[in-house]
Amino acid sequence: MCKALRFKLPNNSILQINGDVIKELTTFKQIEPKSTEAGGVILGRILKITNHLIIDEITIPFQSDIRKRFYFKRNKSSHQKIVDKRWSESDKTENYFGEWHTHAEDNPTPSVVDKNDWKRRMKNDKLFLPFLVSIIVGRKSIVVWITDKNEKIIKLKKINV
Amino acid sequence: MNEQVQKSFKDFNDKIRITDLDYEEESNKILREKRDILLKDIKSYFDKKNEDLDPKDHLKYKWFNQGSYAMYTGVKPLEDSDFDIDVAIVLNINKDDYENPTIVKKWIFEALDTKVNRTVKWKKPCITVQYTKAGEERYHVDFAIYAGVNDDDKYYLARGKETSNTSEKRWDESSPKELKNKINNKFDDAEERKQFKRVIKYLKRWKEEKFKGENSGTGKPTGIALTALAYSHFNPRIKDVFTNEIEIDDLDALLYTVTQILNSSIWSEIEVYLPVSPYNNLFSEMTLKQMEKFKEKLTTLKTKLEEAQGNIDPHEATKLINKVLGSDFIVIEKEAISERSSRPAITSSGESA
Repeated sequence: MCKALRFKLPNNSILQINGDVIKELTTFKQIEPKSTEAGGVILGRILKITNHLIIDEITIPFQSDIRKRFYFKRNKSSHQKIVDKRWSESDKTENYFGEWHTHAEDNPTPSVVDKNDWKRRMKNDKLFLPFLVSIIVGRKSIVVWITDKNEKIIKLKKINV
Repeated sequence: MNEQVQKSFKDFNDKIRITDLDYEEESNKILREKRDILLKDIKSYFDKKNEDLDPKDHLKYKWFNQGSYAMYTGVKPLEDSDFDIDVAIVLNINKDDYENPTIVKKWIFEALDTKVNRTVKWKKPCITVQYTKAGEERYHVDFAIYAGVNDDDKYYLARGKETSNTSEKRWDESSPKELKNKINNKFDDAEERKQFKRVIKYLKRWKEEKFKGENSGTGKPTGIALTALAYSHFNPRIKDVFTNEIEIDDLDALLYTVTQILNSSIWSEIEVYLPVSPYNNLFSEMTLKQMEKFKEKLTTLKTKLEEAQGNIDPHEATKLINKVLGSDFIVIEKEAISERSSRPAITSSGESA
């Protein structure tokens, strides 16, 4: 089992990606020369009392998604269906946090396409959190950003334990 | 420290602990009744024996609970394993008058070996009464027999079976009451003492889970060995170090104890001594290989507890602890600790590169 990863949010609460999710994300690492980008949506919960955020589920690519070496486009309805389903199954606690995808580079940085997509979502989508969480899975690291209301993109710092 | 996780430890303790045998409680009733029937048989045996003896030679004895019941460190056995109670019988005899201790043990054997529904067995340190149900061992009562009136005012335990060789038939210095007192009085503070007992119980249940189907011969540590380890390495975690306010943290107390055990010298020496006379090595039966296995399992316990401690999600934390302490440690449901939302988010398709 993988260990959970924790990141500090600008409001000082913590964002945790649970071990099972880390394990699943790493299976999509673009290690092979021909492996294509993968992606999906991130689901999570807000903890009562502490207000920490827990990412404990993701969706993985569907047939209807487009996967290329340096490009990923996800279909709306197939992923949305899972968001709706998980929300009702979880007594309304599990909800959409944001998006993840892979990059064929060791330590990933967002492309212009990525950044524009995050800002557009922040503006147009009906989100659960007051910000959008984005994860990029590189070959050697997993990096997390949030896009806030002012469309500012902030890279989150990992908390070492 | 997370209060929700601490609550799970508290519930776990309530689930696994064996409550005082001599308080009215339904769960212990059968066990207590069995013990009392056996004690009655012992009494009639000695009453009868004394009829033929001169009053000044009358055999007298006293009894008390010893072992985990007496120390409040008893843990309910897992499904399919049997309960045990330990009873001390202290006779008013001088060990020097009985060179062969099995003569004395035989009295207890004879006193008890009278009914068909129980099997009475000779064991080296005791006489055991085994009750079986449909062929399965369900519970047993161990009677440890002591000579209590000796020249040096110490108790001596009658050891050996009738069939043992002479070197195994001996009187061993023993301090059953001191052990009980030492464990019970290690901490003056009630909260500290209670946490100490809880940590012992957690370790004992962990042992039952991780050495399932094994016995001390195959490397399963004994309850008293774990108790002795906790006795030397436990340190209470009941207060916030900065504010000094009560903040009970069983996870940290258990993790600290396990870490200290792993850092101790027992791994090179394979020695853990009983904290009272005869100060015997409680790991003397373990082979090097078994010791390695014990260390490995203890290391896994430490790793999982550390992970649980760092995990901010009480659901995940309790899931990790459940893996090492077993299914009686309840995993906190996600739904119970997470905020509800009014609707699922609505998201568009999107692209990344």
